[in-house]
Amino acid sequence: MLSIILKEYRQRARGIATLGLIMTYTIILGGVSFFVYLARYTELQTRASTSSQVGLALCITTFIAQMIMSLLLALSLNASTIAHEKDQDTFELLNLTLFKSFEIVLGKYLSSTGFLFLLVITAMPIYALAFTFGGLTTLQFMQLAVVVVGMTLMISALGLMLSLISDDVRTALGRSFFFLITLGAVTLIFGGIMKGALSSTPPVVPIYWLGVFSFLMNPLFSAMEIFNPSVFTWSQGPVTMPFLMNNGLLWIWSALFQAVVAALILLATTVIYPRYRASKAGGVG
Amino acid sequence: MIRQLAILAIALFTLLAGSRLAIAAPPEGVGVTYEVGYDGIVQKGRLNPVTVEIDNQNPGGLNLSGELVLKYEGTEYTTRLELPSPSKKRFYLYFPCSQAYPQLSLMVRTDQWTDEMDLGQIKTCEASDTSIVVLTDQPGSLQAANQVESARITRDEWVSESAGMESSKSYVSYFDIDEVDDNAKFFERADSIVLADIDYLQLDEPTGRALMESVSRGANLIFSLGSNGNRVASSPVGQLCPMGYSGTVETGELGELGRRYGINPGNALATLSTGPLRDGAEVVSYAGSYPAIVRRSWGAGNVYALAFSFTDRPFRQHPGLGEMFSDLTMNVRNSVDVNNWFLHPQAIFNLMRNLDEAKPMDPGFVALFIVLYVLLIGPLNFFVLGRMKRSTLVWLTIPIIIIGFSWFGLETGRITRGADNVVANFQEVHVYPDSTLMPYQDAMYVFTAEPVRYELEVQDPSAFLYTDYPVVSGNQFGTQMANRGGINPFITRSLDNTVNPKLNISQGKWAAKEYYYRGFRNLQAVASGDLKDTDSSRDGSFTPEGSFDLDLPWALHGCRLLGRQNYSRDIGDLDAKGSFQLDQLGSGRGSWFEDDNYVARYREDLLDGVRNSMSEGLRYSNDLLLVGFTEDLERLAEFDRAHVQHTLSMVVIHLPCEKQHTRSGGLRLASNGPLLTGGRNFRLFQNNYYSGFGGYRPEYDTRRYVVLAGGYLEFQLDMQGSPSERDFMAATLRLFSDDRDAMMASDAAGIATLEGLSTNGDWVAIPIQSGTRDAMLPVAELLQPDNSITLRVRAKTDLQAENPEITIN
Repeated sequence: MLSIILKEYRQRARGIATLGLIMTYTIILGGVSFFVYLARYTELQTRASTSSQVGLALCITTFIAQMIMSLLLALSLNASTIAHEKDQDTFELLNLTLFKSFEIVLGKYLSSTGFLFLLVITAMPIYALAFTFGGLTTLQFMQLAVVVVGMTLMISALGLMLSLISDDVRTALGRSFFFLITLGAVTLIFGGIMKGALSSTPPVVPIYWLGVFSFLMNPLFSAMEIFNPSVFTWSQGPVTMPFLMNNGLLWIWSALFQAVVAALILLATTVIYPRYRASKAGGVG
Repeated sequence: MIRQLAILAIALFTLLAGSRLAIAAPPEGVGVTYEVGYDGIVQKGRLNPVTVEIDNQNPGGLNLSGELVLKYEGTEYTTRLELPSPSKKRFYLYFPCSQAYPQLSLMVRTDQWTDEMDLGQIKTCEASDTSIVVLTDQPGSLQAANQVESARITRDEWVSESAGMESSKSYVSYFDIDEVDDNAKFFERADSIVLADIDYLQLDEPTGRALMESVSRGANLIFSLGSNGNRVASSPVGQLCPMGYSGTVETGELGELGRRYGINPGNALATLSTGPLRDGAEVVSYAGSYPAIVRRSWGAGNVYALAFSFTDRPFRQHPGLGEMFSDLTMNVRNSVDVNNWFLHPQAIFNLMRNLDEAKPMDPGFVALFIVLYVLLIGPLNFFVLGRMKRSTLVWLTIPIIIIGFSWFGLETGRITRGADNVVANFQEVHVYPDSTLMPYQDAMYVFTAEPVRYELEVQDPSAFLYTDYPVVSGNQFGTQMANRGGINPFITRSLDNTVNPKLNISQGKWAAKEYYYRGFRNLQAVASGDLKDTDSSRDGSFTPEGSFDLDLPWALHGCRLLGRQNYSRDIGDLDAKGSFQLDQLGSGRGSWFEDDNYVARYREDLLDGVRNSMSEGLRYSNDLLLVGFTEDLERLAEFDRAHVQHTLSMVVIHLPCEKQHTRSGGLRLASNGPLLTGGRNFRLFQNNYYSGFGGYRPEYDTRRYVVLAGGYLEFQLDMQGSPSERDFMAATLRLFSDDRDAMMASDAAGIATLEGLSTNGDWVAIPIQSGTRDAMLPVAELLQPDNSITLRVRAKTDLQAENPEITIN
């Protein structure tokens, strides 16, 4: 498995794509931060905004930009990781090696997520800029990082699975983005309904559990709670809410949930991998 | 001492009582006297004593046995009565007064005699009033503190914008030491217990314990030492005194204490007790180099030691004692005077805007930072490693670059601002000439990386929460204004504490519900000036000349002189001490800001409803403001030290600059000189009607002050010219009734007194002609060596006042 990881990293280090990815990523993040700062600069000068407000705005926009890019990159990197082998006709060669299925799956997964994590921490200097203005605490920053990590793990696993079951990169990417958009839209809708219910009437049981699922799956809700711990506070009387509400710990529950989902997806991928290995091998044979 | 004496005859009582149960006549030789409350006054909301003294001199040797009953609101408060003949005994009964003018009756129930007495109409004072109990052999010795009115800010913690002001009076009552009950209940009502020139041999152990218990429960105990220091030290309460005794000194210099309370010893020497400070004691005020007022905590209360005896000269019956005891009773200490007169002129805003520490980072620098980062982590990194044929090292160099730039990002503040990246506390201190008053305001979190969940403990919350002008609640003097964003004097529209609160005020230290807005910060800072505007042109231009002296604890940097008409002049760094000549302070004659006249600008701002951004008071004066910065000033409030990275202080020194204008044949008056108040006056905030705006808009009245009863307006006239003209000077008081727009009071003598500072340092009353507002000024008696006279208009009742008009008759 280690050899697969090393091979992947070596390949990425030499590829021009990696340079392009890193540059694009940092330019977009830096550009977003810069333009937000530029927009708030006049307010700072006239003291219409406090520095902490500007810092918070910088942080929120950097986080959103980073999350979107991480999502896209996690999907595209992982969706292409096995599908790319198929496109290059090297999948059969890979299967002829003595690597076991779980070693191949994990190797591919760790190499791509490792690269993703590197991209995630590439944003740190940009966050450091926000820190000079204040507006968020170190704890909040850590919580955001945990949310991004959880989301990256889950989306990467999903991308890897779709990459396995797709015949080529294009199909894998199409399926991945369809799945991502659907998941995002559905969780936003049910999460929104849940949030609305928190300030009006107690949600009915199905809505509640769909909302809870959405809160756990969609990192936007975790981020909302990090920036405003009371956003999901139940305020309409003595209704007992399960673990998610009123305690400001959605971020960790969400990250844990997504990590578990990622593990399950990886397990499923490992389980079904021999079927694709066998069919491809059979075809060749 | 005991005011009310009643010896009641059964026959008379039966006549008055009518249908009441037949009551036996008092036995022969039996007399009853009683006193309700403290000097006949009871206080609502507190426990009040009824002292009953029964003298049994029955010739037949009749022994009285039974009970003494006080009846109030259906409840009976009882004590056992055993009185053999002949004997005389004092009994104490206590009742919790819940209403004004309580109806009380006193009953004697013995086998030999039954009686009931209606105690009649009883005076009450409000629960918010303060009570000073003086144990003394000289009743009336603290008359100056009686009925002194103090204002306090009240705050409704549940309503973020609620801040009201109410006034309360202090009531002084006098008792002999042997009148004191053996238990602490006697002092239940007392906010302060003063041990004046009593015979300390009479102060026995039970009384000492009672005093200690009262103090431990929250009362203030005030020792008046003077030449009594040794007797206090050896008394049962000597251990309470925050100052030991080693001897006495005589001094004619009262220093800061004298300046604070306007006490001038003149030819009289003050006797001060001296000695070591006890553990935990702190000096509240100095008389020259000697501690004059020393304080230390004891339980929930405080013990003060006055090194002097206030019944001896030069303190005896001095009006300044009223303020002094008001301060001690209210525990005004380490506090500030937010009675600042000053509104930031545009020039100060400009200074703040350009503060190195507060400047936002230049966008160009941010762009450069980002571009550098992108180039380094991307092309440069890959290019160099590629040339070295070590491309795989990219996984090592990228994290290194990330960590390096993260550190660099956090350090950008230091690079761009030339100071610590995090300025957690910005404070502003005002220094008035010849005064230890140091109004200030604190602006926190100018820059701080960790702005959430701070704990802030402040001694005087009003200074922080309500830096704005404390508006008298109700409509008497103006409608109450919201105190939006009082914590930040800048144009940050509000302190956003609704979401992710940026500041949590810890209430832990604030035991009292009321917060006193007035007070003093005892810093030895002196500034004085001899400056004149020598520009004689009539276009309002300003050319100050002269010199000023500074004696500050801190050197200042980045100093600038500011004056009216946007006069501004950079003068660089100044030493803490020295005499500075204006002509030599820098090149040029001052500059003019391009902005509009700041006065006009601020009036517009007020109308625009952004008054929350500024401190109170707009002063059209000729003063020069010397503004400088220091990092040396001690913190005015304690922050969570873990988060305080840097404290920056702006010091604003008010330098009076004489405005020359000629009146009546060469007599020059400078009536815009330093105007001081008795600490309980406010700038008037009024609603003016603007038809164009469709309603009333709040504005500061630029001339008029609210003066609460007992307070005063003090002003100084600088007189130059023909001496013969001085003999014909008159002052016309400009006083207004509580109804703010009502016409000027025609009988000023009824609501105010005029006082002048005589050449021997005493304040002398200047009679106001009855039915008028005019008073002749005895200039010869008042003229000081520096050709100035100082006058005070002291309010007998709450009123509004302006500076008097000085005319030559």
